[in-house]
Amino acid sequence: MYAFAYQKPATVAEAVKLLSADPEAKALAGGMTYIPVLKQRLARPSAVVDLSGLGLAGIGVSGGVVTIGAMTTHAAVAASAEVRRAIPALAALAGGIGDNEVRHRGTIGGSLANDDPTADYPAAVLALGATLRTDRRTIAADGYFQGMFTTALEPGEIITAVAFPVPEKAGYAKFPNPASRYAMVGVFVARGPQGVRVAVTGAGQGGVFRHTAMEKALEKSWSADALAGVATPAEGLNADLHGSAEYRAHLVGVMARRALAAAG
Amino acid sequence: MSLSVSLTVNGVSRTIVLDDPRVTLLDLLRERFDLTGTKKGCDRGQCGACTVLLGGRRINSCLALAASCDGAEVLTIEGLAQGGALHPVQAAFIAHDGFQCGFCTPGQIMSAVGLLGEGQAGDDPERVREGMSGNLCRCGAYVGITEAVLEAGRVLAGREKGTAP
Amino acid sequence: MAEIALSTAPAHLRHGSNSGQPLTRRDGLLKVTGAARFAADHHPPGLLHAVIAASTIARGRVVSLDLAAAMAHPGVVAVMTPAHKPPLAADPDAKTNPFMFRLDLLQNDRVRYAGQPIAVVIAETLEAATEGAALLAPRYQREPARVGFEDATVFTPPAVGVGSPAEVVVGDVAAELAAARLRIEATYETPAQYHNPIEPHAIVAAWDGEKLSVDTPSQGLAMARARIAGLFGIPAENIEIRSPFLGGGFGCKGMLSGPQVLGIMAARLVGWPVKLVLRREQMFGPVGHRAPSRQTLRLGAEAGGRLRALDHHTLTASSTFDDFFEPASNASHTLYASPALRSAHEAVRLDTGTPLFMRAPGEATGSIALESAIDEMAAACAMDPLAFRLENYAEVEPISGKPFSSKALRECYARGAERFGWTARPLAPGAMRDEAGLLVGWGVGTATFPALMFQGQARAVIRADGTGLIECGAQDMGQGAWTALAQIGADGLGLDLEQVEFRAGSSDLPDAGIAGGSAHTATAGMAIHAAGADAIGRLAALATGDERSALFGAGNAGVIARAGRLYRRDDETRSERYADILARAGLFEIDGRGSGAADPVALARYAMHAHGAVFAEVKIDPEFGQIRVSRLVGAFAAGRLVNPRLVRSQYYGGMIWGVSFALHERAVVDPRSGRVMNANLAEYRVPVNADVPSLEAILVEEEDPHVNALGIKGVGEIAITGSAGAIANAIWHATGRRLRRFPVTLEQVAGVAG
Repeated sequence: MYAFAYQKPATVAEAVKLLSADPEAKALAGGMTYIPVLKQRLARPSAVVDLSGLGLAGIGVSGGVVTIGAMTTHAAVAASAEVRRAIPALAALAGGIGDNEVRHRGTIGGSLANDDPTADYPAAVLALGATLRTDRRTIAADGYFQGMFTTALEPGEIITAVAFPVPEKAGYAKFPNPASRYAMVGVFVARGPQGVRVAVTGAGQGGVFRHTAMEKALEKSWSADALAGVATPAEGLNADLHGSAEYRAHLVGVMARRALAAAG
Repeated sequence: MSLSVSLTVNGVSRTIVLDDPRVTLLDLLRERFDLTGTKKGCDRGQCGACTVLLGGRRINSCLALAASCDGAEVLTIEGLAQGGALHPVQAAFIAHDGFQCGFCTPGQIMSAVGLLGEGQAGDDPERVREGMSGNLCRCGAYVGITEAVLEAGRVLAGREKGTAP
Repeated sequence: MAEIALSTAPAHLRHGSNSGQPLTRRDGLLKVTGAARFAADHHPPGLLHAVIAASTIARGRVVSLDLAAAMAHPGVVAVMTPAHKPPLAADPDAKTNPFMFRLDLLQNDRVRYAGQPIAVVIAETLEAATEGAALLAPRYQREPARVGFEDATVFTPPAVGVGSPAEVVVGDVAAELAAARLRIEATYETPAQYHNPIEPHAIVAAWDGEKLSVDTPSQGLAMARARIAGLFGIPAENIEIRSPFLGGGFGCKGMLSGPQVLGIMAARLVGWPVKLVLRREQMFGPVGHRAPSRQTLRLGAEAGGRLRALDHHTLTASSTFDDFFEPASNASHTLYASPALRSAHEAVRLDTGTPLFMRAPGEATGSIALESAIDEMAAACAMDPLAFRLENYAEVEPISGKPFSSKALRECYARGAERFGWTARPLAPGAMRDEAGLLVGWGVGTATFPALMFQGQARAVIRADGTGLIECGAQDMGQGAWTALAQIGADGLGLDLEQVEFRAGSSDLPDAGIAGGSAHTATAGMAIHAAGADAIGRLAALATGDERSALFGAGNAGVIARAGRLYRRDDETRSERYADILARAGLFEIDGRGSGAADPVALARYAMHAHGAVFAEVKIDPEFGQIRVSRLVGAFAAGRLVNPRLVRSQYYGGMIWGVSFALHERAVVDPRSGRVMNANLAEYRVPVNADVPSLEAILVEEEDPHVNALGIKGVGEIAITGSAGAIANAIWHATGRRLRRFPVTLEQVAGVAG
C-alpha cells in the first residue's frame, strides 16, 4: 500500500467536505474491493475517508419502497425480514454475494459506487428501477451506470441510500465464478410499476446492461417460453480464463430462464 | 500520522497508538498483539485463514483496516475456550479430525462459530458446506470439518434447550 | 497396554496396542486453540521484516532498481540486492547431489522466470517493507519468454523423477500394437499446478555470531540444515532449524527454497533477526510446481479385452536452468499386465521456476492419462471398465516381472464397487439422469503408489521413573507424525502412549529423513521401532544379567516388554518394572538408537506398492456444463495402518486433490509476459467445502511381510491417483464425450467453445 492518511468523519457533511477538499482522497465503505486494490497499489489515495462512522446503515420499508442505507452490509440485507418479504429476490441476491466473511463487511453503497462489472447489486438496481440517494441529489438507475467502474457520481459525492420500488415479481439467477462467487453472468428480471426490466451483470464489457430484447419478449408473455427465440449476441461480452464471450452469451439465456423461474 | 485505536480483544480492552494507518486488523493482531493464532494465507480475502469475529460476525481480518475497527469487539481463536474448557466447535474439530496441518484451522473454527451463531445452516450438511466455503483447506479436511460443525451445532442446540426455563 | 516380543515372533507381527488405534491427534489441542506456533508466528526481540521484490518479467536482466526511493520510505532499514548482500560460501547454482536444486539468491542481475526474487527490502514494520519492495520499481531488459511446448526444442532428458531412466521398454510395442485386434491412441494434457499450502513459505532467522537459529517449515530438516551449512560455510552443528508444524507441504517444502535462504541472508546483512514470509502471488515461482504434460497413450487389445501393448509417452517441461522432469509415464509400470510396455519421456525447457515434487509427482499426472486411456480401451472393447481392469490385472509387476510384496487390489475393487453400487451402471454413456434432469455418470480409476523408504534415525530412552522418551527429527505437515510416530514409539518401548514423550520437528534431533514420497511413517517409524527395541534390549540385558532381578537368567528364554515391565517370556509370573531395573543399576536412564531404511534384499525380490480403487459419480448440468462430483468412494490397501483415523484423512485429502486435478487446478501463463495470470487463490481454483459433498474411504486390510518389519506402506499420495481418472471417466459416462484436456472446464462440457 502507498502511504495514506486516515480519516473517520462522524457526519455526511464532514465526509463530503474532506473528500471535496482533497481530490486525491478516497472514500472507504466496507473495503472488500478497495482494501485489495490498495494492497495491489492500484490506487494511490492521499487520504482514506472511512464512511463507517456516518450512521448510514439501516433498512426501512414504506409506501411500496424499500430503502437501504448505503453502509448496510450484504448480510444485513440478506437476513432482513422486511426485504425478504417485500423483495425476496433482492435478499437472495445479497445472500449470494461472495462468502459469509465478505457479506459481513461489504456494503450496498460501496458495491454501487465501485460499479464492478461482475458485481451483483447493479443488476438489481437497474432491473428494479431503483433510485440512488446521495448527499446532494437523487439519481435514477438508468442514468447511474456509465460503463465499468464508471458511474454518475461526482467527485466527493457520497451515496447515502438506495430506494427500491417493490415489484410485482422479481427474480435473480447468477452463475457464480466457482472460486470467488462473483457473477460470471447474473440476470435480474422484474415486473413492476416501470414495466418489465431485465438487467445483466458479469457479462458485458461495459458493465451492467438492460437486455431490451428480453424485456420486449417478456412484456408480451411473462414466461420462459417467451425467451426461447431471444438471442444474446456474444459481441461486447467479457472473455477471460473462466469463460469465453460465446459461453457467457449462452449463460445469459440460461440464467434469464432461471431468474424467471425464481420470480414465479 | 499516528492514530489511537481502542478495541476489545477476547474480552480485554486494548488501546494502541498506530504509527501507520495501513495496518490491517490481521497484522495488528499478529504482529503487534502477538495473537498469532489468526493466520495469514493470502492477505486478499480469498482463503479465510484470517477469519475472526468482529462484533460477533465473521470477517476476513486481512480486509479490515485496524483503524476502522476502533471501538469494536474482536474474538479470535485464542479467546474461544472458556476457563480451560474447549468451545464445542474446538472439541468437535479434534474428535472428527477436522484438520490436518492445522494452519487454516483457527479460521475454520472461527468461521464455524460464526456460522452457528448466524443460525442459517441448522443440521443440513449441504448448507454447512456452503456456509464454510469461504475457508479453504488445502489438506482437504472438509469431511471432518462438516461433521464437526454439525456436531457442535447439536451440542450448542442442546445447551440452549438445557438452559431454557 | 502395549506389548512387544523381543526374540521369537516375526518382527512384522510386533504390533502393539497403541499402533492400529484410531487416536485423535496429539497436537490437536494446540491446533484448535491457536497455540500451535507456525514459523511466521515467532517474534524474537529486535525482529525486522523482510519482503521480497520479485521479477515481473520471465526472461532478461534487471537494469535498475530505485534504491533511493525504497530507502527513503520511513522504516526501511536495508535493501538487499546482487550488489549488496552477505557473501555466500557456495555457488547457489552448484549441484552436488540429486536432491540439490539451484536457487535464486541474488547471485546476479539475470532473470530466468517471472516471480524470481530480485531484491529484498528489510524494514522495521511489515507495512514499510511491503511498500519499500514496491518502491524499487525495477526496470528490465526484456527477452522473449518461452512459455509453451511449441516455444522450445524437444529433447530426451538423461533421467526423470529421481534417477529413473527416461525410457523403459518391455517386449515389442510396435509388433504387439500391429497384431492387436483393437487399438486406441489418445493425447491428454495436464497443466502446471502450484502446491499452494495455505501457509506460505516463511522464515524467522536469527544469527548469533556464527550460530544460526531458524524457524521455518521443512519437510526435510537434515537436508535443509546441510544446505544452509554449505551455503554459509558454517558447521551444521551451528544451525538449529525448528519446524514443529508445517502449514501444509505437499512437496514444496521438501527442499529448502531460495526465499527461505534469502531470509537468512537478510538477517545476516542487517545483524538482527528477520522474518520473511512469501506473499501468496510469490508462491507461484520460486518454490516449485507440478510441470505441465502432454501425454500420448497407445493401447492395443484382443477382442476379449486382454491388453497386448501399452505405450505411454510424456512430453513435459523443466526450467531453463535446472533439471526436474515429471516422470508421468512411469505410472504405467505397475498396474496393467501387457506383453509389451513402454514408458518414454521427452521435455522442453521453459522460462519458469524449476518444477519439483508435488504430491504424487509423476503418479498423479500419469494416472489421469493412463486411467482415461484404459477406459477408452474398455469402451472400444465394449466392456465394463471394471471388468476390463480385472481382465488385465497384473499378478506380477509388469515392468519388472517381480512378484508383489502384497497386493489387495482385487479386494479394493470388490469392496469399492459394492459400496458404490457399480453393478447398476449402464454400459452405454449418456444413459442416466437424476430427478432434477442432471446428467449422471459413473467412472472408475485404479490407484497406485510405490511403498518407498528413505533413511532415518531415532533415539529411544527409558527414564528412571519408567517413562519413555522418543527423539526423532520427524516433520508433521498434517499427515499426523506427532501422533502416529508416537504410537509406534510407545509400542517400541512397551509403554502406554501417555507414558511416552515424543520430541520431533527440530534439526537438533536425529535425522528422520524427508517427509515425502509417502515414506515418512515407514522410515521414521522403523527407526523409532528399532530404537525402542535397542533400548529394551539394553534394559533386558541389565535385568537378565543381574542376580538380584526376577528376570536373572532369562536371556535365552527372552523377555516381553509390556506396560512398563519386562516379563519372562516363558513365565510371566516373573517380571520387573523398568524403573526398578534402572534404580538397582543406579542408572538415570538407558537409551537406544535405531535406524530405518528399505531392506535391499526385499527390494531386489519384490515390487512394493500400495493400491486402491476409486469410484466416482458426477452430475452435470446440461444447460451450462457445471460439473459436480456428487459421490466419491475409494477403497485402498496400504499394509498396516498405524492410525486408521489419520489414514482416512489422508485418503480424503488425496481424493480431494484428485477432484482438483480433474476439475479445478490450472496455472494460466500469459504467453507474452510469461507470468502466471491467476497467481492468487481466487483464480487458481482449489476445491472448497461445497465442491466435495460426499466422500467415502474404505480401509482394506493388507498384511505385508516384506515391505518392512512394521508392514507399513505409505498413504499420503495414493488417493490422488485413481480419483482424478475416475472423475474424467465419469464425465465421459455422463456425456458420451471424451475430454482429454485437464482440468475439464465448464465450456468443454457445455460444448460451446470446446
